[in-house]
Amino acid sequence: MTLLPVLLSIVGGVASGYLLRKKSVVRYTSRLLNGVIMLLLFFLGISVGSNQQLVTRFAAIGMDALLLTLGGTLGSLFCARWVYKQLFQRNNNHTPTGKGDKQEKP
Amino acid sequence: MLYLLFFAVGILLTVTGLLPEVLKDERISKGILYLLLFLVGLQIGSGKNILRVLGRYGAKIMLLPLATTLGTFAGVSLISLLLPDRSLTDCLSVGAGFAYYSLSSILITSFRGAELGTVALLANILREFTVLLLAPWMVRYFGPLAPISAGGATTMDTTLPFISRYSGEEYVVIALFHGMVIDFTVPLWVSFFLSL
Repeated sequence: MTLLPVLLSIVGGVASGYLLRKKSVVRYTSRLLNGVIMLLLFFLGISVGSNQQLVTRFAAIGMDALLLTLGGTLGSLFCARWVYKQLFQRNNNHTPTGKGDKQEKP
Repeated sequence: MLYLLFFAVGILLTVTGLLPEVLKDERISKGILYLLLFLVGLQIGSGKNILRVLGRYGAKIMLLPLATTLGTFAGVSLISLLLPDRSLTDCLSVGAGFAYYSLSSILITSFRGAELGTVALLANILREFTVLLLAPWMVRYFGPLAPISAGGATTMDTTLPFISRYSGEEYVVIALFHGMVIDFTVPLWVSFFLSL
């Protein structure tokens, strides 16, 4: 149930953005976006502040967050290494040669 | 960092009781949330950068965002085994923030509550910090694409200077493209996992 309105908002935005792409109004999108994000983070602060349980369990929550970051980041690092070795290191036709290219293969 | 100031002010006003009760109505933030998503779409629809980059590198450049997504989901799924109190889909929705801490925590808070929203906020801020702190180490052990993958949705703005410096300037275009694609998929993945 949560997906549909989210999807419609984004798709509506993409369509409007495409139609308005030559108009000057779209230049203000990112500024407006930043403002809205700040406003919503303020509201996020309100929901966190009014949740007493959250304040008392903060250490446990922080630990969960740390573990999830560790897992997600390490997972993406291993996949990035695989993509680099498979596709970027072997043929250098139209790929840039980075500093990493000069490294020895472990 | 200015963003977090707003978050802190929200907490402070509530804890000190200075906040008018009207503002605690969740319908307000939900309404603004849809405006936010509309604006995210507007930015994507009016931009023309993605196609230009795609023409230069071909389909191969799509593989990095794909690797970032798959790697993140695999890693987060493994971690969810260590967290019996949190469901797999909740963990995946946090991971699907890809360091885009503001949008992911806002979405998760409106649909799952402030507890998981806070996990998402912290986890995704940490992910961005990891790149800012460890980019040279990532390049050394995982290659020049590593900080891009780790940076998730932030590789088109906050972490871009670090990628340029440690991976090399020739990776800036790849990082920009990667950031745009991941940025676009964050609200889709997060709401997808929350709806499961």
